[in-house]
Amino acid sequence: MRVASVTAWSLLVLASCGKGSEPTNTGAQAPRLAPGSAPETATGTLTALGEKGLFRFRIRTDPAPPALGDYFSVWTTVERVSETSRVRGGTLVLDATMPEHRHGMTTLPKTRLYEDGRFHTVGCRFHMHGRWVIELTFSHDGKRDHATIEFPFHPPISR
Amino acid sequence: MSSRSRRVTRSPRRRWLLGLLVMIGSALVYSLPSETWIRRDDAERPWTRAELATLASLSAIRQPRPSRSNRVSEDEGAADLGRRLFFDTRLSGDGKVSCATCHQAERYFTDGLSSSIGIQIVARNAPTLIGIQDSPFYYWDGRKDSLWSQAMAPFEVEAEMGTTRVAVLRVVHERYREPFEALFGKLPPLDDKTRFPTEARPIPEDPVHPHAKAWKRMSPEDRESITRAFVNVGKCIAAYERKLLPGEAPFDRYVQALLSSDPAENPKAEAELSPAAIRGLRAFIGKAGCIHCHNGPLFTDESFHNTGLPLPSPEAIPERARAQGAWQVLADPFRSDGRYSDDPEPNPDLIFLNPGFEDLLGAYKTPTLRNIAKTGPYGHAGQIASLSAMIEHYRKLPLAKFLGHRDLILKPLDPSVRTSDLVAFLQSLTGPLPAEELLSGQ
Repeated sequence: MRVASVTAWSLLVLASCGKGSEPTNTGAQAPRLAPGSAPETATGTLTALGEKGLFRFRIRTDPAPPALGDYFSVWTTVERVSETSRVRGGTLVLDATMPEHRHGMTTLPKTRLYEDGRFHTVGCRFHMHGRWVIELTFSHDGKRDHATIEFPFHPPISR
Repeated sequence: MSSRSRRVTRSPRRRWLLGLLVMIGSALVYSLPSETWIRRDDAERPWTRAELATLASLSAIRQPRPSRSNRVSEDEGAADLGRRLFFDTRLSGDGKVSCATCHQAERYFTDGLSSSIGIQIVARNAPTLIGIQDSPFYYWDGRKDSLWSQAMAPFEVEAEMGTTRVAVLRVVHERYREPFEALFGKLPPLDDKTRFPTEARPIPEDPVHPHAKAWKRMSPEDRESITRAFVNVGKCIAAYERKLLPGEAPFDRYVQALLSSDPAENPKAEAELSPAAIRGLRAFIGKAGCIHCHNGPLFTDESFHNTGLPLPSPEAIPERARAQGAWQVLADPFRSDGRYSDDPEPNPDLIFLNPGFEDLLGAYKTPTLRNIAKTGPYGHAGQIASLSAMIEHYRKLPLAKFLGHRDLILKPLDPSVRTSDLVAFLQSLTGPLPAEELLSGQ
């Protein structure tokens, strides 16, 4: 029994040596994207198609990427899929959620529409490390669409 | 026949030899005390670059930012006056209680009690004041959003200091008039007893209270001048409390040594933390997940979480906690962007605060872990006696009666994480007390 135990331990020891176990990485995670969304890394812009296929959304955070626990804002532009022109007007509701935790942000962001059609949402904050998803609901001329953009960079735990 | 195939031909003998060596080696490893081989596995493994960045972020103690809402926050005279006020028992209803009664300097500005005792027993545990300078919210439920507005509040709570703003200013008028007026100009003419009663304060919830009636009899102008002077008392105490910074702890020296050279060859780093503390640190930032809420140099996310702590007694009523505190701070006449602030710029923490956020129900502020070994008992009501008991709470997450739901990020602690390792690490966060001259009212 003792010999078997020793042998088992030996194999475990050897296996762990050979494996070179990698410590837990608590830093930024590799990008993960929801279907229909894609990063444009050169500009830090994320895009997503609405679930009904009516509108295409482009968002950019300021700063990019946001830091854990700090406020950031989001610039959003909306295009009609049938055209490529930016929609001017409409109502945008932007939120961010943590699906695994089943909650959103602890803040109530406020959105302002600029004359050139850009929406600026201020008061966003990722208060926890982990996976965040941006939710966009847009209404214009009686049409309504919703898009989900998985945030590609988890806010690093270091702050 | 290639050399490779020759090796294959000889491999059965080599495998036998390897097996023998493995068995001998294993027997040696197995015969060592368990502490030794665990240490080699966990405590001495080099830190990854990402882990080092995390450690650096935990160790970077910063000077507090100047308080925009308190123009005397950096003023040495205000801090000195605030220190004397902090320790002065005359500023209480019975003349026996000061701020330092519940925030005792030698106990790292706590009192060692589950529930603090001012004039009466208080429902909450007194948190440390060391390292609280830049917090966006104060109290376990965050019902205040500035250090100065928090410092004012206990004076007029009957169970805490049980006095009134007029009575506080009478002591200031009598004992501290010169330094106070040098900072803020003339005090109200408190000698005029026809205008200023001995004691008076607003009590909206009890308008027939003698102090409330006395307050109502004063003119609006006198009420305002009293309140402004009372606010300045809070601002002086805040200026003092801003000096109570955490001192360098063994953990900080460990991180400094790690970052200064190759950790594998650096005996200085190893000398700062025990193997158990290093294992605890690894667990803290790794599989125990403590760092999700206890992050940054003060080991707090300055946020609010429902950790499902048990009630302090079977008769206790579960509290709404932050779900109430969030509404209170929005309604606070002394909020940091209000008319008593020196910089009433909009405060984003209030503008964007979502008091209806459902996870605020039963949530309390994440406490700093700096000096945590010296600031027990733990929890908002001091219901957890020791660090090991707190870790056991997170290990089991027992069912308890509380409002709301436990934060979903909480999972029972990984069984491989040792309580003793986490405790050893937490003990390494104890630094020296602030400078001697800050520890008394003399």
